[in-house]
Amino acid sequence: MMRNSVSIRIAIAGSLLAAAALLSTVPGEAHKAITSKYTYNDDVFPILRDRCSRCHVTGGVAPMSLTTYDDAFPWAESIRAELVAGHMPPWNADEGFGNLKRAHTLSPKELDVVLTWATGGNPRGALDQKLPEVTLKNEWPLGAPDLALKVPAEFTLAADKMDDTQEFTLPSGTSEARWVRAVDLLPGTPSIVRSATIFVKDAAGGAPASAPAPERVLAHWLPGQDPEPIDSGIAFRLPAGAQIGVRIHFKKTWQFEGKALSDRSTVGIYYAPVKEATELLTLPIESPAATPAQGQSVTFSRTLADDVRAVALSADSVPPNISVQVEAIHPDGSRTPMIRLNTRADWDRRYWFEKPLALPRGTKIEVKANFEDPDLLSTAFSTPLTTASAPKPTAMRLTLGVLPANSKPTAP
Amino acid sequence: MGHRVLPIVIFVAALSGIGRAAPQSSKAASAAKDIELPPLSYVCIMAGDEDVIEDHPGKCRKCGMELVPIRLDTVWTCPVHAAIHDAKPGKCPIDGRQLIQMTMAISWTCPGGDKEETAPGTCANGAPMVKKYAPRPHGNHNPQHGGQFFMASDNWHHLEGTYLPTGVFRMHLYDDYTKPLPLAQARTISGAVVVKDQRTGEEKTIPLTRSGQYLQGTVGKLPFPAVMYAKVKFKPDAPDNRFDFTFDSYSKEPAPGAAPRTTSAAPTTAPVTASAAPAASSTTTSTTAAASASAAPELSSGVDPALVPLPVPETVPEILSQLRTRTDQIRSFIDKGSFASIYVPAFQAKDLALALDAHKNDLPAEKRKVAEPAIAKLVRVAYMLDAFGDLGNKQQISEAYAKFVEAAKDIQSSFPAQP
Repeated sequence: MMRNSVSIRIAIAGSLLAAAALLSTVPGEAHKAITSKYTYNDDVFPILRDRCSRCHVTGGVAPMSLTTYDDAFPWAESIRAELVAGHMPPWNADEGFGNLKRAHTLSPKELDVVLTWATGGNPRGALDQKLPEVTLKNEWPLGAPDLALKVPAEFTLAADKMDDTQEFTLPSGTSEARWVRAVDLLPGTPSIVRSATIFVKDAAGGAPASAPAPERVLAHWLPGQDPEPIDSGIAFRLPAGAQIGVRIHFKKTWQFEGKALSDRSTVGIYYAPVKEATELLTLPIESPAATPAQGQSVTFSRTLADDVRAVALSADSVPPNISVQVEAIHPDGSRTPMIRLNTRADWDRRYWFEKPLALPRGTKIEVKANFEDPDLLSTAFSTPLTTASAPKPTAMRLTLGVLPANSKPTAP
Repeated sequence: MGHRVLPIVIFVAALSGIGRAAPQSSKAASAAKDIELPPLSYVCIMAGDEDVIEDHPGKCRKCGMELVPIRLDTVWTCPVHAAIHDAKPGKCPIDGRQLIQMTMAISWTCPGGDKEETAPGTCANGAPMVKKYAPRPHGNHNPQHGGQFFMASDNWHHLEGTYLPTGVFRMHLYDDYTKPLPLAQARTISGAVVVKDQRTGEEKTIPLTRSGQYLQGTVGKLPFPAVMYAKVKFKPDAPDNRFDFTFDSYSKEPAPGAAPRTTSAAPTTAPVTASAAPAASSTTTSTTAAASASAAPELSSGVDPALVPLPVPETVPEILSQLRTRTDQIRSFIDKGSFASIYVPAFQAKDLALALDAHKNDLPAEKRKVAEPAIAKLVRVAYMLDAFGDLGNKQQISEAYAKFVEAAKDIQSSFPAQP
């Protein structure tokens, strides 16, 4: 990786001379001077196209397209705030705490390019340069599903409503139980389908709360994200003749205010290509209903009654705009960081651990919820010094996805 | 984003010189050819749209008006005699004060005419056109009264806090041109200054009262460094903005012939100085020294080393060591209350982290998993520190710095400190 030192010296000397030459000619407006060496056409567009345009495109669910210069530059300041706050791309887990499969982030270089451009005067690049047109792609990222179930009726988000939630029931019509590796949703009208939860409607229930129960939530669907097929060997169980529930949050952006828009989405189910698999089970971690808040933070935990391997974690019922830290405290007192989330409304998902965590019986899963808004930027630019908007502590629930230790694959 | 134009240009040029030597040198050549004139920028003349500035002609992104070409330049001017313009730092020929840096629009006019041209020429009477300077919004973030200068989160109001030998904290209010706020507008602004009681440690809030165009309150005589913060409402129904001040000494109005000001909120001048050379890594010392000798404008000595950009070293241990230095320098700026300078070491640290990013594939998989998100986090938090540095709220800056240290620690632990 060593660079040639002579060429480096020349480059440095050259760059300092170049700097000296530029010094006397630089436009010097402090806030918006064009200091960015990156232009939209050459550097920023490819990143926005590859990383952001599944939502930030004409007809997409995001409130603005970023796929042309004219679309993007008025939002430069907003892009800066969203990136610096870590709101975009949406990924609520803190970097460097726990070991998660990362889905949707920008590389350090990409982050720097976009931020340099956004804060450095937003240069366009060559005016006569034609950029390829980016259009909305509304398709199944994993290919056609094995089972596609359209919601039974069209839903209309009325002209006078900005958002609404609707639950649908879809008979799967299956004659035998199947292992499922992934579940996805294809919006009918992508611009209003904001998030969805897809689950198996379970008439049975009644399992003792102390034992892990089958995972009924098949997917926390978010726009612009590929469904994550779970590792081979692990699967969701879809019982024969199951009823599938889908709860969709519809939301309009300001562009459609006052207009009625209709949607009919489709749920797609991908079977695991194996006869035998290990079912994903869940253990809820719940705060007592009336947790007394000590200052602004609440700690609660669950101690494992059996040896398990933890594979995933989701925050099912947690207020937005708080910080939630989860650690496993082993019987010997050692701690394994699991996740630290800065929760945001409408961006719930299931986080998968990079590798299953072996947790012996007696391990305590400790959750610390801090109700002070962790979002430094929003407090800086909107409501400094006020805590009135801080969410109130309420009952919370997280769900740990587990496999019993030594579990063997079985038929569904 | 305060006084950053000069250092940023150096960073940009230094970086792109290494990363993209060829295109940069051709750009430099053309820049050198036009050295007489700064490049054209295009601005909107509609009131309220002064922040619209483009590098090409077209319509205003806010109001649709045709943009107007101007030339912007960084000039050195007297703190109270804006008619003086110089290309380099020095002393005001009128009153002997240190010149300050400002961004101005330059144009050329004929006596008696109101038409402004973007290039020099000859008037109808045969006389050469006269060069004219006009200030730009946010062109001047320099304290006017020897205090500490911040911008409000609305990006429009600016203020300066001073601590007087009488034990009074005084707050001067400005608009986006750093012009004192007209009385009518200053009247809508209210605030208080908060100090810690020396004995009990309890916070004491002292309401600020208006006295002419500034607000003030008596905080008493505090030991130095004197620490206090102001809570300011720019409109009666607006939330409080917090501004943290740390005074190393009583503020002095810039006086004729005063020594170079060394208070914490000093503008970040001195992009390259001869003193940078000894600090540079051994492999680059000679060329750096040679280059800076020819490149450096004449600058006063005593520039904080944290404000001097250094080339990114070649080896991982050297980069790590410089990253450690920059991390400490941010800390010391925070402690001194020099918030407006934080972005300089923060952006240098960011560039060091990005240089390490290029080395991450040499790491074992385990370490890479720690390094990659840590580098991304450091880049993100550097921009956060930059944004907070202008606003002057110490608590927010410190929280962002805690994140920065977390990321820097993860980076230090994942790369080998020895070659």
